[in-house]
Amino acid sequence: MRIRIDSELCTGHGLCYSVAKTLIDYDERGYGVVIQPEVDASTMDEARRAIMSCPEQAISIVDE
Amino acid sequence: MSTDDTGVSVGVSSALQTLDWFDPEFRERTEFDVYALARGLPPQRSERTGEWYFLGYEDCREAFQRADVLSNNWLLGPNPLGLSTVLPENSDGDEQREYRRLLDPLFGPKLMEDLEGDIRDYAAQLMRPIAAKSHCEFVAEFTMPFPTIIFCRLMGFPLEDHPQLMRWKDVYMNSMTPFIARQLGITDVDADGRPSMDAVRRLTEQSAKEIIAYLSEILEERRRRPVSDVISMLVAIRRPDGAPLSEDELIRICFNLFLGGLDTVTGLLSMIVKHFAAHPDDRAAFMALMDDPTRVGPAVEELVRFHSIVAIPRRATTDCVLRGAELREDDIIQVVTPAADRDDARFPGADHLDFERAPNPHLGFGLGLHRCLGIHLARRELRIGLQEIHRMMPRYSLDADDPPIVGSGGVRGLFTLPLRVGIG
Repeated sequence: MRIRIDSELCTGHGLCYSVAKTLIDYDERGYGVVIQPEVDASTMDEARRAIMSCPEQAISIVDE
Repeated sequence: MSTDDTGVSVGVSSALQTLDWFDPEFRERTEFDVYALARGLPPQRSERTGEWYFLGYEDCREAFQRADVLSNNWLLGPNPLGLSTVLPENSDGDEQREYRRLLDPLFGPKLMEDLEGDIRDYAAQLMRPIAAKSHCEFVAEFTMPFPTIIFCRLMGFPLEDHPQLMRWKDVYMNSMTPFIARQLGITDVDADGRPSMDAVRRLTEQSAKEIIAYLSEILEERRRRPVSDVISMLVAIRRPDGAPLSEDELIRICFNLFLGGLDTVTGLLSMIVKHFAAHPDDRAAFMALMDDPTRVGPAVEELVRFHSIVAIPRRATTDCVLRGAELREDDIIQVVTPAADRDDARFPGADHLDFERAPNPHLGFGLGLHRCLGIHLARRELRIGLQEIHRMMPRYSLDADDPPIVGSGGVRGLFTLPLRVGIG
């Protein structure tokens, strides 16, 4: 399971990285950057919170 | 949690017939109670102004994401004050994207973190004399100067210039209202104290000259001797071809920052404190979590949703049908985020404050490419401002003999907020 941010949709609201610090950091523009793409049992909650937090619906979990 | 106090209730049909968001009379009459106009109403057209009002959450969301047919340059429409475009707000397409690429880092989370200490110091300095009194006027004494002083600090303007900046801001945003017209000393007014369009236009033009002179001088100073403020960073910007931004672009950008960052934060803080004054249970709930870094962020977002303050204009660039609205080219749409953010269909229990609300995809900072440039600064000001207010003044209430005066200017808010300090 991998978390990804769709860069076409992300406009840098910045809510994801405050709720998913293990998985997502931010760049100098305030856009989300995935720092830990692999999602496991210990980070699934964070991943879900990140997905829910995004007003642009730019975050998803993909099976890989 | 308790509900918001609804102000003057206006019959939906009568309000819609005379709907004009920017008419101070409409605002005074409804106290901005646009929540009565929401609840899933489809896009409405004002018979009076011809403008469209998007009110439901999904309609507003769609409007924000349709830059293909909706332009941010609404000044090509009716422009009685002869206002000039500002940047990047009034730009579109590749040009807009480029401005945001260049400007986002100046207001990104990393740089805004550096202001944390100063923001807290200013908040505490403003609160100290207030906390020592039994009464205060919280807009003039806190919510107005707070973001303005921070703005000066950020831009590199002398802090003692903040009263002049507040005055210029009021000319642009609020001079059509009797309350501010009186403060500005406009004498060409009708029996209700409303200034003539002519008087407002003349004052706006005069202020524009003064602001441009003020900005030009500081831009030149920073070119000669740069420091670490935003003005210095703006003059240091280079496009990929190595060219700096033109003087005209720099002035328009500074105008945008000036118009975007002051009344917005003032309005939000005023509305939040007014609500907390009347609803001590909500205030207590906030105070219980305000020092918890994992809980205060979502709480601030919920407060932004609950008190969403701006209607955002767009101009249709072509005939099209959008969410059922048959738009003609050049039609103006007002994306009414205060209505959208109270849409029960998207936010169950929308009239209740829920500091744990998740998801909370509110439109208080907009959506899409024009999402609020100052978002990281705004959140920080709100969080720190509210922390210091409640740390130093945990008890306060409204004054029954001196009720708040609802703002009727460019942004939702209050012109005055008299409080009894230490009681309630």
